[in-house]
Amino acid sequence: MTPRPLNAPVRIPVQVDPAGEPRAIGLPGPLGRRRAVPVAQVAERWRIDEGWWGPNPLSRLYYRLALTDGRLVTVYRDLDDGTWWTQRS
Amino acid sequence: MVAPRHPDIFGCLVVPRFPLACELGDRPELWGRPVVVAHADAPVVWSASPAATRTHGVVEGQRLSEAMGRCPSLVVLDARPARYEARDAAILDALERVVPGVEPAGLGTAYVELASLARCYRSPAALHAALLGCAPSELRPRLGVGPTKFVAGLAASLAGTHGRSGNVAPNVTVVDASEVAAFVTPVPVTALPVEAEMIRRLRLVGITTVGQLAALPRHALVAQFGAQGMRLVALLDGAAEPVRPRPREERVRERLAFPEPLTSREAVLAAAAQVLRRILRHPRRRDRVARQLVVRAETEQGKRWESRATLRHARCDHDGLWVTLASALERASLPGPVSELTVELRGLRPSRGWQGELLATSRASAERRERIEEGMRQLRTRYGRTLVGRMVPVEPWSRVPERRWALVELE
Repeated sequence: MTPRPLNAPVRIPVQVDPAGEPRAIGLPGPLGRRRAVPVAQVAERWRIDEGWWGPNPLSRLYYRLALTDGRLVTVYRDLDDGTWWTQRS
Repeated sequence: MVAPRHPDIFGCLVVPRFPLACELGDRPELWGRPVVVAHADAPVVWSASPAATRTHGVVEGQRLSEAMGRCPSLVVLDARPARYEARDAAILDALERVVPGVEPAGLGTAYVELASLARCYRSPAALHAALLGCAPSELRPRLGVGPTKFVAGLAASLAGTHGRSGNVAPNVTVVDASEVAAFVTPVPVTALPVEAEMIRRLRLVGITTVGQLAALPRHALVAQFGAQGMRLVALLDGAAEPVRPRPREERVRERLAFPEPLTSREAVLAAAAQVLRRILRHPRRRDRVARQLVVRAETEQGKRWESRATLRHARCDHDGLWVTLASALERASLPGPVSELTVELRGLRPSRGWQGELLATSRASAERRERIEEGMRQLRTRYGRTLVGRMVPVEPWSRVPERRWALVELE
């Protein structure tokens, strides 16, 4: 068995404001259907740039978000292709 | 009764411009042409051919752009450090089969002590031939022999270019104790085993030969060059430095060659798992633990990738080694499809001193373990494969969350 990485990121839909900041994120609801949960506050923001010297560079902008339903989630935007992901940090 | 002491005799085997010699050994059609070897990630000349230096002024350490400006027909070869290290190690191994103690002194240079060995050969020429035979002839090795390591090193650097009567072969220079002064006086300072900056400063003040240098007051040399000057003074005064043999290290190695080169990382990982299983069954590995794990991948074009991991503590268990091996391969930027994979365990030593746990496993945890194993047996019967994994740290310090921990099979 090949070692399988834990905490692999999961792709999610995110609505952004004109400045590119997350405004609402699509999370699975109680019945499994996705629903947009508005962001109450950006608690923290940090950036990771790794492997830029190699063939598989990685550039991410992480957000720690407080949602209006009280949840705290970590999401990031892949700065290479603009996609959004959620991940346990 | 005290045994008579043999006069000191040292040998120095040198392959000049070792990286370049390795490349030209593989591509002999480039001999005589202006060629340099450079790292792909550092745009400076690492090793330059005499043709490039003599005709176009291309020297080691020069920026590649400047070198190419000076010589438009310059052939630039990508450096393959792993290959050079492997060839250097092969030469040292071969030397150790001839001489008991071998001191490595950088790529392509080794010192040996010959006084006790001279009588084992029918003539000095036979001994010299045996030493030269340790390096492949296409690398064009040179041998210097002298009463100190310093003189032997100078003799080796000038072998083949210095027409001395004592020479037994064109690539050997022998300097007797009685002729050291006459030999070293005209030697250029560029042949000294000191930093390039020191040579540059000496030449700036018009000192170009060892004879001129030896005529300087010793205190002036020390005042100008500090510790390096002090060492040089000692060498010029004939101080005898002993040969410091490289430590003997026990190692086991397993290699797997693929008729069809592996292109996917998963295939490389599967092959690595197979090589690891094989190396753990090696008879020399039994009851021993390893200090270092080396994994090496080679492409069909001869490009090599190597990763060397020093284990946090000496071990030889499959799981611990696999985590190190797999994480190295998953991070690797392989130079192309892999045609050969080698895994090596270094620093093997008896595992007697190994203390796994400070406290013996308690009965409760043993029972828990049994219950887990029973559950796993049932799962395997039901689904045909093991579904239970164990978290292992891979790079717990990493800023990228998915790289910190991995799930591996529990068994």
